[in-house]
Amino acid sequence: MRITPGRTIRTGAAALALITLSACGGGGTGKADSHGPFRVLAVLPLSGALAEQAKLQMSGLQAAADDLNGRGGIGGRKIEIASVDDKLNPTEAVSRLQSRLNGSERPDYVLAGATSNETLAMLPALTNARVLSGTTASDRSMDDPKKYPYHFGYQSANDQNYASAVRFMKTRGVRTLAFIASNDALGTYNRSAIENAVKGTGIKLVAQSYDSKATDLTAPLDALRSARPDLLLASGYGPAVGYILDARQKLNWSVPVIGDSGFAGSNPASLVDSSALKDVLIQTFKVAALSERGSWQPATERMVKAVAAKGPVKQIITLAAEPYDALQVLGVAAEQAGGTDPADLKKAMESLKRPSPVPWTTYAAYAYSTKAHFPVVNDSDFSYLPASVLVQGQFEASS
Amino acid sequence: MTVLWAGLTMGSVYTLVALTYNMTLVLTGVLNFATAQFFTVGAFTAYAGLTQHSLPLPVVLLIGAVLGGLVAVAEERVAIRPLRGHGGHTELVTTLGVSTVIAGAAIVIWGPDPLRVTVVPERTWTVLGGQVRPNELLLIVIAVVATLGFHVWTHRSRLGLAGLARTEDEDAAALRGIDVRRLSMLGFAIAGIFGGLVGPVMAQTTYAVATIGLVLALKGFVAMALGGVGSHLGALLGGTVVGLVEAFSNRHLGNDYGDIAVIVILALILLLRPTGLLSKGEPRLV
Amino acid sequence: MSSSLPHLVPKRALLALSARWAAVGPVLALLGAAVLAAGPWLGLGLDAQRQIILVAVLALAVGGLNLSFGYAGELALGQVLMYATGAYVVGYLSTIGVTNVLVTLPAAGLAGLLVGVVSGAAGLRLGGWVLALFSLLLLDLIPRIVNLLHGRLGGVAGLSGISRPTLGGLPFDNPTFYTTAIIVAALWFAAMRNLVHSRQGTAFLVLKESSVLAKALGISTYRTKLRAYALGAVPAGLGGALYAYLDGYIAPSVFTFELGLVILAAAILGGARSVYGAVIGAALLQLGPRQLSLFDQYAEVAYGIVLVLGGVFLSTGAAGLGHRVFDRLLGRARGEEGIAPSRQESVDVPPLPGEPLVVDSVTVRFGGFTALEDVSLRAEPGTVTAIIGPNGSGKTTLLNVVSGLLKPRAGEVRVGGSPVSGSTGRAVRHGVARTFQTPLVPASLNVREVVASGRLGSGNVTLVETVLRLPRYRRVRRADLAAARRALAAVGLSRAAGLRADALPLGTRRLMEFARALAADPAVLLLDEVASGLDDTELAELTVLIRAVREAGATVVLVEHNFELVREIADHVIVLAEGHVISTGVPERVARDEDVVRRYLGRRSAEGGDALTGKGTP
Repeated sequence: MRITPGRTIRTGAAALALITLSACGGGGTGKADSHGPFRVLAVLPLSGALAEQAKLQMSGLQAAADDLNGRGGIGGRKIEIASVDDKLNPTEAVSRLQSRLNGSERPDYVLAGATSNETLAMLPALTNARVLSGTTASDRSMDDPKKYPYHFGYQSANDQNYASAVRFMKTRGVRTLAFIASNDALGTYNRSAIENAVKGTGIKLVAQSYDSKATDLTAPLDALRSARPDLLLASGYGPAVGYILDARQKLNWSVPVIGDSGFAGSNPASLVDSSALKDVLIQTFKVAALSERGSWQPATERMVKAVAAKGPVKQIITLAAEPYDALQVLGVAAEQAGGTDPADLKKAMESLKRPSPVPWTTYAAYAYSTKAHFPVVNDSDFSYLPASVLVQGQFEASS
Repeated sequence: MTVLWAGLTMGSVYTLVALTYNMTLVLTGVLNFATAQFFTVGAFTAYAGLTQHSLPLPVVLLIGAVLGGLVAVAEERVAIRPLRGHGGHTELVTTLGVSTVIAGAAIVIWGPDPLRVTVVPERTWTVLGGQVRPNELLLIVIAVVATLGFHVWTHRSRLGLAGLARTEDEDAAALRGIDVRRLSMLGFAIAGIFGGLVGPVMAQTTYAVATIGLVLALKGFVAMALGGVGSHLGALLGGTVVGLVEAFSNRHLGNDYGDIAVIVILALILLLRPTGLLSKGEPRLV
Repeated sequence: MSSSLPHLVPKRALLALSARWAAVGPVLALLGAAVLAAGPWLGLGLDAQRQIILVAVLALAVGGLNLSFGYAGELALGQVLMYATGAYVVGYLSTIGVTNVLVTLPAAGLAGLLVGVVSGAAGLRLGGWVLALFSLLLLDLIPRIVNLLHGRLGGVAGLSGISRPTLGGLPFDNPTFYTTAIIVAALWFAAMRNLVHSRQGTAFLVLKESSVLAKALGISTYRTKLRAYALGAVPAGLGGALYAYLDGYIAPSVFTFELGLVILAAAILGGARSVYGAVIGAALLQLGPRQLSLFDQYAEVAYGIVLVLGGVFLSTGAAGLGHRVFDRLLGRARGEEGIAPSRQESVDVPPLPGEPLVVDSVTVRFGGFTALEDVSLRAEPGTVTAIIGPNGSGKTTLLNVVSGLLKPRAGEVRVGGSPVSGSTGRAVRHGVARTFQTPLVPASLNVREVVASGRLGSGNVTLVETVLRLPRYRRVRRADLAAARRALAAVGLSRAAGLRADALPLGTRRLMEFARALAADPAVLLLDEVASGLDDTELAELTVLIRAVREAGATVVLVEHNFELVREIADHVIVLAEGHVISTGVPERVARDEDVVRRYLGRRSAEGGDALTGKGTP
């Protein structure tokens, strides 16, 4: 009986090679072809509740691929992008991923899901296959270079985002902070993030969570109001954003609100009447704030145009900007590593020398290290804006 | 007080779904998984009519009712009628299929994101010391009026009584000259028209969003079981209890307890009265 | 004795199948499983292996539902809860370093069983409809419990890094894990097949079709339901465990209402009342939607359409369809041989251990209505006692009391000196068997099985003995079939043994019920209007039969409107009116009793019915 994992893969691959005659070019043998195209596979929820967001991520990838291919691709290899729909289902995601990992067109880089559930399910297979991956999902449990050495997040987790937001609140004199988040994976993580972020700042935190399927949030908001907070930090996605603002208005509660990046991405102005948006700010990356044009990274304007050319931008632009950045960062890493070997790329990513000008758009520096594979946030990456309508994925209002 | 209004509002939503379940159950004898999607039809019609095409409200309501009715009748023809006499609860699969088609079509046409629908003007009133919106009050009124209407109709009209007779014993009803097929079609038509009419008002509270059907299907089901399968007054009582219990336990015990409180109340009531609060007979469904 | 067997010819095909399928099915299934299990060595790709593992995982959950829903008739969507339990048990065991497959899989199955017993014990008291809802709501508890045990179970973010199972310290590689999954699924389906094709399976089906009949046969309804429900939880737990091992990652977002619906749809589309239907349904639902990705953004719509079409065209499930096709093919090949009714069978009833039946001052009230008031009677072994009286006089109520279905408000029923009132179990154990005024016939069984079901109340065979087909099971089963054969021969239905029970016309069904009661070797035989609907020849033969039972030593109690029959065979008559005994004695004496004539026999004549020939009672 064969027992070791290494053998397993070889055995499986041999069996596969026997029956799939198309398995030329080293299908499943553990190494991608280093001369052919640089294959990028996006495993995304292209159907279902997050379909629009996933499509925008695809636009970002394609825009970056066009840009990079115009300059010779990644490490001299032309980028080819393929996508599969995982229907927001972790099991389906792994199924789809594995069939590609074992197939003839083995990916060099995988955009692994839009939520932490999908990503966490795929990471063991990706790690086993030593394939570089990244995702916009941001749960710190994925930022574990020992466990998942080839995974690099390209959205900072909310522990950093919230810490930045708390520093902003301090300047506004907030003493009691209310926080509301859903009880799903992201919301639960966010709640622990804000608890850590307020530690030692002297800010008192009151928190409530709500069921991700709830349709009325009057009760948790009323409970928060009774603690008389100076500010409400709201985390949410989709209809919940509307329910939160609705309930606040219904309760006649004038507390100022800061919505986190997910909240901002849900385009609150499309969900509620403008009267419900009084004193509502959103924490957003500068790349999504038209008024911050002056302090954008130099490549931003080009990226926004290129993404818009790929299709209508109905969601917040960061969804495209971050995958765009992911490929750009890879491109820089490949240059510095002098090739596209996964181990070399990984090493180059962990000690990336910041080029000038930077080809990416969202963060000033991604600043990965051997200890952290999530981007490092600077307060200057963010902007706090009134929630206005999104135009081409960007907020028009200025702070 | 505001929490009370919020609880009553959600209670009305659950009541309306439970009433629609009852309508197909009483007249057709089928548990229709797609019931809540009739409201989705109304909701998206309202979005398309009011927001996208700026049609006048009465026209939109008319279109909603017609569309809802057509969808429901089509469902009955395609997914229910061919199964008559087969047993085995296959309708649980076919109506689930219809529900999936409606939700899927809504996503294809309008996308997965929630859409705002404004049927009555957005403002907030203070009533009895709590804040409430006109659309929410309207929803509560509709739930009460519809309950009473359905109740009277079921117990007074010839067709309603025929439906009750059918629930008792389908074969006997057929022998007494009741056209079970027509009754079945009628049950679906009423449910569909009702959903298409009320869906727009409901959507102002819940948004027009394709994924909401499943949530409402479940909660409406709880409301119906709590009140008693087949009883319209029971639907109102059950829906209101679920809405209030949920709102108040969320408010005072915390979010994780809202659903648990509903489960506990349901378990208690059903242990004491397995047929629900207001149902007289044995539920003859499963 | 004749019966209207020619009516049955169209349905014959179906029955022919069951016999052949019973022999061919398991062999085919085992062969299929063996070929599948050897897949990796026959060149099956990793992708295909993964899909087949997922089918096996889903099939396990569906198989459990088939047992509780398809066979025992309890619609519960709680499978997901047991499935999640199995997954989290192996997930947790992995985090504390326990990976031995011989420990973890049984632990997952047992955990599923435990959850099944606990949730079933509570839910089953609520009854079917409510149980469905209740089990659905239990799913809501999964994320909350997982969240509560955040440190151990990974919370809503999920539990990752579950290591593959090991055996003797060596971790499973892909082919080994694949083969293990197939073996686990095959073992479960073999066990389930043996379970449902046994007296236990018959008990499930009887219970599903009529709880009254189940009780009258001495089956404990609650325990039987709980057994089906709890056993159905075991494969769900196993499936969950395999699922957890497959990707090494589980999260509450997987164990949802939607998954419950997928399991239900697979059960119904595959055919809930079948063993292999679970595999077909699981394959349809697991592999089907993948192909629908072709429809791109319309995939969801296409999936819904497939569910509708599948439901409409597979209303008996894919397994039912398969059975029909299979049967038609084999039926053709074999040619059509007619089944002619048999008239020459001798009425040969083996000795029966009759016991005296004593009804002692029994009173029964429903609400304010008094159905029986201080009724007493005594029936001796080797005699026929007839109970007659107008409609609503309490005759059937009296039989219900004797058979334990009704508990008297006052008074007692004794068989052979032992009190049996108020418990069908006790009544059956003391040899009470009965027929029903409207025959209770489980439609999905064949005539032989229906008759053999008369013996379900006796012969304790454990589940393990049943599943493993141990000697005691075989012995009891042989005795059951022999008794069924004898009883069918006695009522003249031998040739109908293989027919579907619901294919029989009403009169024949009464005879089948008679045979069912007879198969139990009754001490006390209760016959409720067994003669109605029979023609003159049949009636004559029935008379011979009842006499034979009496001669065999049983205590026969007969509720009858046909006074001619009563006069011919009854040794003793009891006349009931409005719940009171108004006359007793030998038939001739009762027939002359003025009160009886005025209140019953006379009125029947006046109403146009002819009480003396027994024709005409509605």
